[in-house]
Amino acid sequence: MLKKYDTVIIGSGISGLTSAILCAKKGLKTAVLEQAPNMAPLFSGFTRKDVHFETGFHYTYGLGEGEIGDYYFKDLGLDIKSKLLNKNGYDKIIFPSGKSFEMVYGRNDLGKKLISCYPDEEKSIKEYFDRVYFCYNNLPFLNIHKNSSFDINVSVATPESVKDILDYYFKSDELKAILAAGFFLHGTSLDKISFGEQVCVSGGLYDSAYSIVGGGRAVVEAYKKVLQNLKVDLFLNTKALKIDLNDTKKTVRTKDDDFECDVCISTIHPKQFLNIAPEKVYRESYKSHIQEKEETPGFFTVYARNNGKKVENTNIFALSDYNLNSFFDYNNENKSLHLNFSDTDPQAVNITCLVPSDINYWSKDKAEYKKQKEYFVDVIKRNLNDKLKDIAENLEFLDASSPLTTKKYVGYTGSYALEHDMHKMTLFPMTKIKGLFLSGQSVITTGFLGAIITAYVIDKIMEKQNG
Amino acid sequence: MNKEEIIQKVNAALMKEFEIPEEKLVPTATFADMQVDSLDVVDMVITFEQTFKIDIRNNYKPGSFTNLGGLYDFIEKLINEKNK
Repeated sequence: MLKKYDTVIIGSGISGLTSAILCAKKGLKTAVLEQAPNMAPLFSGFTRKDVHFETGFHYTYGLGEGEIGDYYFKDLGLDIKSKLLNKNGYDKIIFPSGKSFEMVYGRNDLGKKLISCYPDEEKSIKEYFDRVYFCYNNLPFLNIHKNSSFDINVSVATPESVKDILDYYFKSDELKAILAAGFFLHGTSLDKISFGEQVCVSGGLYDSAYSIVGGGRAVVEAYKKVLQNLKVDLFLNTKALKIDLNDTKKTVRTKDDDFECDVCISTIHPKQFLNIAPEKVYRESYKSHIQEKEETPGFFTVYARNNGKKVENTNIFALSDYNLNSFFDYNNENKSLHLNFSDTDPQAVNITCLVPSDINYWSKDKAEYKKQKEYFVDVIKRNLNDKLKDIAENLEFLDASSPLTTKKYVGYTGSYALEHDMHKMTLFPMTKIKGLFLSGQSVITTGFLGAIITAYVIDKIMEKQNG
Repeated sequence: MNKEEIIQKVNAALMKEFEIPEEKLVPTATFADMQVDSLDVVDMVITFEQTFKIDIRNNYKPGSFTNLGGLYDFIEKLINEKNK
């Protein structure tokens, strides 16, 4: 059946849902197509034995009154309650020596604590934070809500990589590891991720770190409410198979229905988008750039219930090496781990290491794949016992997921879809076809706020295109 | 890097990355002549920043250049300033 809309959004992740609200608020008749059986599958998480696990959201910054996230939530009409995290140690970094450092927030507090631990590097620490804040306050992407003029070029890439900057300022490997541990949240190695991306992900956390009351599920519920009020139609189990172009009209073909629209925003993996988009969507050279981009590494996660004392940190980064790129060393069994602790009771714990996202790495044979999963569960357990024995003793393991699990829910195997390699072309939302856009975590930058702001960028480009 | 090399590298990128025919690459050509749209401009800035290791975004002001010849001069100026 042919259904007619002004706007069709492909994918119901945060970027897609945000775009849906922005379009519907303008009075455009809007539909969202989702291939999975539920809305925002990554952000919704899952429950095992009465313990709820997060799969897409852990923490964010900028939710204080008037701050960036708060601004966008209010503008979108989202009723989301946030909660400040443990000020004296929201993150904890455990070095290979066994020594650890707890991250504090507050604009000057982290700098002060670092200076007290590494007094020889006082001058560099101060200069580094000046640079972070300068970048944070001036990146156009992070400030479009404050500026009336809008420049389409909102790339967050800076000429220097995170590694360049850390090596330039600091001598201590510990200090570099502390400031870079959050890079795990990019899925791209330190020599390839630009300093600007790092500032997008971590810059605001130096000021304040928040969890959301009720977690990712509560965010999804808040979106659902607003979308219902705006009468946006949501089609589940509806996979976009092809986007056809007829003059200015786009028709999104699915198994059962065709959706005709003026504006189409795709949030699916850029390589899948190339497969379904009209031929002239990009120049041939741009298509090759997308094809050449690499997938971010996969997450292998073990889900556990903490039956011991509640852990007050949100994240623990247990490092096997001071060189953080060792996260990407898949063959080394001495693995760096990322642990995330929920603030729910019972406490949910996700323990993650990076594994290959190459689909061919994972066996198609069921028994063989099961063995691969068991192997990584075992590796994670062994590393936990080595690095965090007191916590490991109280964990009850409930489930595990591999990149193939991720693929089942979000359609791709990498942790954050395509890698944000500063040496390669940055992906932007515009295409060669007016009214056809690409969005999602592979575009501009990653993360919860990244996805929301990208939707606003598209909104501004649409305004510009329509004069 | 001398001016000749800059012109050669810019033209090579415009032909390879942006599929602009060689005969259109004359110094007096405007971006409209080359049929370049907003997506291309964003890509071009990033391409030239990487090719020449210069910061175009923070140095560009409206009117910095209006045609291809102006782009060559602008890039040359940024390279010279960087090498000072």
